[in-house]
Amino acid sequence: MKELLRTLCALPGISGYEDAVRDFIRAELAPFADEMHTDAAGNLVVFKRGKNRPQNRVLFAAHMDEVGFLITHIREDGLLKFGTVGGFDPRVLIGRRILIGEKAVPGVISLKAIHLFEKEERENVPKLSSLSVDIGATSRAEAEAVVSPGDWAVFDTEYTEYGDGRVLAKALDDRAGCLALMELCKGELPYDTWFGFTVGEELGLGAAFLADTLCPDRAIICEGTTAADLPGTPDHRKVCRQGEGAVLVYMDNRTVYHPAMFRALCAAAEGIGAPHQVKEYISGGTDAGAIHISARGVRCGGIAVAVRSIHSSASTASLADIRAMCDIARACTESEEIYNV
Amino acid sequence: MSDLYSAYSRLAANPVPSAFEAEGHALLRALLPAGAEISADNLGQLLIRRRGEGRRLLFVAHADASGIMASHIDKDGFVRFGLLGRLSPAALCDREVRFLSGLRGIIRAEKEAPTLSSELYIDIGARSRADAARRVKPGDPALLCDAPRRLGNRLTANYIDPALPGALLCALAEEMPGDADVTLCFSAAAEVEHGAVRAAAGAVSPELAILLDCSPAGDVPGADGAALGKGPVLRLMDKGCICSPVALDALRNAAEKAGISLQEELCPDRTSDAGQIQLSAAGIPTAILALPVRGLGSALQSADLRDARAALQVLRAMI
Repeated sequence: MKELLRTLCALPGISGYEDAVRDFIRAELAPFADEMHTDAAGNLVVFKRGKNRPQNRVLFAAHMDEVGFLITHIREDGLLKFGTVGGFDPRVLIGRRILIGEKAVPGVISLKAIHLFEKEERENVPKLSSLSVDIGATSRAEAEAVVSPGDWAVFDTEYTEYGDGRVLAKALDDRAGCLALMELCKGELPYDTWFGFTVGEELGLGAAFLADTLCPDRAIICEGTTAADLPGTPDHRKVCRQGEGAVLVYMDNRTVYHPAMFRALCAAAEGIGAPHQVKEYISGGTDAGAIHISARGVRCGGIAVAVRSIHSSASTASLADIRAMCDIARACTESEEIYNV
Repeated sequence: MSDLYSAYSRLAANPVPSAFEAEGHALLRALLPAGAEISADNLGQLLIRRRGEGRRLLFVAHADASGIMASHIDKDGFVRFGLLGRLSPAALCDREVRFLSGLRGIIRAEKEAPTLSSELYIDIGARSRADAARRVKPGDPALLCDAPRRLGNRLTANYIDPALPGALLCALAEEMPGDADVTLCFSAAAEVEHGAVRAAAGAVSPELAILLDCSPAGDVPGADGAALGKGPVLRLMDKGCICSPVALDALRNAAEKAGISLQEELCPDRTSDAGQIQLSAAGIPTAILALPVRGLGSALQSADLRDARAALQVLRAMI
């Protein structure tokens, strides 16, 4: 599992530019899938036959895209201006290393040095528009030789295992979810199952096209979710806790998950004794937001991994929590409640 | 079987939270005519079909009421929650709520003038965390639970919205003249504005859709807008929808045919499901027929039964 996670997290794939991730997953799953295609939006749709045909069409979904950047402008002095793809707190960007485009040109997100700030500026959160990327070019011409406006960029983060079974990487949201789906697809399944590796989730897109075409009856979304479980946060605002198991979700900002699906997920987790917790704050959103209202309506459930510093260069998760998400997803593939009721 | 008022009083006394609309299906089925063609979709939306040779119409009223969802039991047995709908922290403060299990609690604020749900908690009178955890779990929804009242034509309840528009659909189902191919839909999750109605509207794909909603009354100090007892309201636009002229004219024609005078309004501060319906499938011309309600957005609402009776006549004249 760890090697696959390392590879998945290292692949560059911001919303709209998921090709490298999709190509990898497609190649990995080709020997195991019965049908596979990429739809017009770029979603990778995989069908795997199980031992039996179920009553319900069941979809597992995870998104391939990560949050990142697009270069928008090259300045005369060789610094680059950029836009963000996905939600970011500007404070987590300053001083971070990024890699731009296919050539992986290294850059650093920079703000002017602190002694150059006025007092008021120092006390406020810097605006995204005041950040630049420094690739070490001293002129526009030098910069244009290696980058262009429109180039995508991702964080330059080395996958690192540390502490008590923790992992630090970029894009744990949602390569951990992709990993869960891939594990299921590589194994034997009791029932026919669909897998959707979606595009553009960080912008709210992608999944709607997949669901409107596939028309699933049930969907289980495997995601990363914010853990705010650091000291100083009141208990009821911690959302979920890293290391306390996979997070089962009953509601977020875009979806009230179907109560029967939530109960089925809890039962699946309890049935196998997998460590799990429920999300204890209503926040965030997943592909379920688009999926549950698509086609004729889809009953959705959500399993997530608690990720600290989620949309940053150094997101972290517990490997045991990821394992628990995979195990609970597997238990769901055996659930009569999900497949046949 | 039911008439308008008896359907309303049953619905007002038995509200259901967003995403739990299936809990209210047994009651709706009892309020609808025996032998009606009723189906439910994956999201708990109930559809009633009256087949006909004429144009295909869809009438939508949402079934869900605004409330809260428990999210965390704290170490002393107080219940933390998130909003499940449009009632604000200020509106919820110091009100009694009831969970589906029947458990009741009182919402309190941990500071003055709360603006966030995280500044509120529910006191269920638990002795400890363990005691509370036996009776309620994260993911359990709760609603306000005051008894509805009536004085003549004046109705007061926590949930005029959605009980009164819902009652309109029940009463319409009792008697549908004309030959239009009519679907009535009790939609889901309108109070959380997630767009669940798209799944139902897409499945029906009508020529025209009419959304039944409630509008903030303007006949009170400090407000502008429709008046109670002056008839139903034709809403030309709201925050999510610029109503289709085709659908608006259909309502105007029906009102004229029924001899009912409509109030008209623009409602730029309110979002309804009309916008979601209009953008469903290949596009559905949609208009909104609303009932004036005082106290929309607060814990206690009031309306005039005569406005609902008049709205029913307009709907009948449309089909």
